[in-house]
Amino acid sequence: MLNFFQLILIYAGIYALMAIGQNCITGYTGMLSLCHAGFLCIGSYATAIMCKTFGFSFWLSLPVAAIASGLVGLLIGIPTLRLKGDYLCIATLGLGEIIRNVATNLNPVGYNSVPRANLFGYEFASRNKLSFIILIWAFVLVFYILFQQLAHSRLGRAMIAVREDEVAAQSNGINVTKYKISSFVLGAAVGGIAGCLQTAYTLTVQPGSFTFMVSVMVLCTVVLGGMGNGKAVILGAFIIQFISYFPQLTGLTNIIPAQAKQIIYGLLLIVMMLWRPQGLLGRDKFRYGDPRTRKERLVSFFVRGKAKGGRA
Amino acid sequence: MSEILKIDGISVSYGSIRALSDVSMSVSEGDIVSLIGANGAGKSTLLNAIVGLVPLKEGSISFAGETICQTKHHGLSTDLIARRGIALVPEGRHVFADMTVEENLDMGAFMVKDQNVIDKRKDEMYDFFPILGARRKQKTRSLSGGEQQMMAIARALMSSPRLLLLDEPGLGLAPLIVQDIFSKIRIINEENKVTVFLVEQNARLALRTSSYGYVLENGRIVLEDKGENLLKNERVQKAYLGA
Repeated sequence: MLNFFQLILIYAGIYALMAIGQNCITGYTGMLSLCHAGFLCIGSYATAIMCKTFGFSFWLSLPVAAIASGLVGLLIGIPTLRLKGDYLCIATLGLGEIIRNVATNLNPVGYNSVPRANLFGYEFASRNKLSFIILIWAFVLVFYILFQQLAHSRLGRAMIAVREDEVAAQSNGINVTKYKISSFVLGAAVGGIAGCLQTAYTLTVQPGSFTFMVSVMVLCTVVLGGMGNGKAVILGAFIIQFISYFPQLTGLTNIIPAQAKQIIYGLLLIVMMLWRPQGLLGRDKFRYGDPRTRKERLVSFFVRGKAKGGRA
Repeated sequence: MSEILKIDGISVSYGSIRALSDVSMSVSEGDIVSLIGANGAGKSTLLNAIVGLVPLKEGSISFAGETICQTKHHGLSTDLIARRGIALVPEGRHVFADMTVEENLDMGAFMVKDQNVIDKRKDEMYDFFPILGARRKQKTRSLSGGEQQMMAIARALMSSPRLLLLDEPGLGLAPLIVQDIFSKIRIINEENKVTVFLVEQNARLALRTSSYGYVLENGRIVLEDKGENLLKNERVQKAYLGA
């Protein structure tokens, strides 16, 4: 049982990282992208190839994974980010599948026994889950803080302006394409880092694990928690992973088929869109001139659900 | 007065539909120039063409001697045109509804790097539009139509543009509020030395405010003259002033 909870913590961490990336793309800039599985795939493959073929250490392959993923995001982003809404969604869906297919053709069996990660002589063994929980959640914390800072920066403000109104953003001198691409590349790079960490944990990479469902789960995580809210997407990651492992956790694997979770995600999305489109925690109150005190904000945090009407 | 904006024989098409054909006009620095016309005449298209939101099929547009829009994507992008000093207040205002008034003004000053300058301009705007000062911490969504229009104008002024383009500033507002907004536009023009080019359905008010006017019909300029002369023009009176 403890083992299971640790496993959920590890995967919740990996998904939280991916969700932070997805949140940058979908939450801040408002682009509906469905290819985070692709970025996870690139990060994982980059790590496996770097560690196995070139003998890189985990820490060296980490930036390689991020850069490789970000670079693909850049190359694909330049032509596709001119598309809007559903069209962008379909284009990125295609991208995710392309990446997976290329990976499959590159090496259908994937990579096994990737060398373990090391830190000051301490070896991260998959058996010792606690060490991975600390490692992965340290990354989540760092990226959470980084992206919170980003949201309040000039770059973040420009991204939010693009999400709110592209015409107004352009009229105010914001280069919409530039900020869309920056946001996409940043989100992709974080996805790559998540892939690198996942490889460090599983020590194997298989193309079959980067299906479209992964992208849907990441998007679900962001929508469930609250688009554009850093804390919310981490909460979303916990809930999604809990649902994902619910049959194993309760020992009901015989009764609940594995596919059931896909139905649950779908239902979850429908329910959320109907009753709470802003997500469980709602949009981040990023207000640099918020006149309210900490206490007032805390109070409004709990009573907001009823008072505020939902908006997609 | 020197010519600040020159539109030279431009045509714009949406697919097979021609929205503007061979439109030429010029705006002198320091003037208020208005463009009047009926629904669908192509007024908004013309403003959008100036800021590069719609591509030209023929002709060119130059601002302060520099060509900003040309055919076949040779023109500048909208954000670069904004950086040259043209601020557009789009039709329907396009405010950042989920941001507060203050944040909207901050976004308007996106091109300004100096925080002191931004703070100073914000204070000026709150002085000029007192209602915005009172609502600075409110979400723009909660503002009335007239307040939103004032905020959109204030936001455009945050970048201290040389040319202010206004697309139907009186759209959907009560007559008294429209009067108020037009008197503000006059003050902006006189005191801040901002050239104003406005598009309006309310022909009488627009022509009274401006020194020069153009009449657009079915994508063509059919008349141009001083504002006061256009007000007396028989054709204008019949078609736009209901006389």
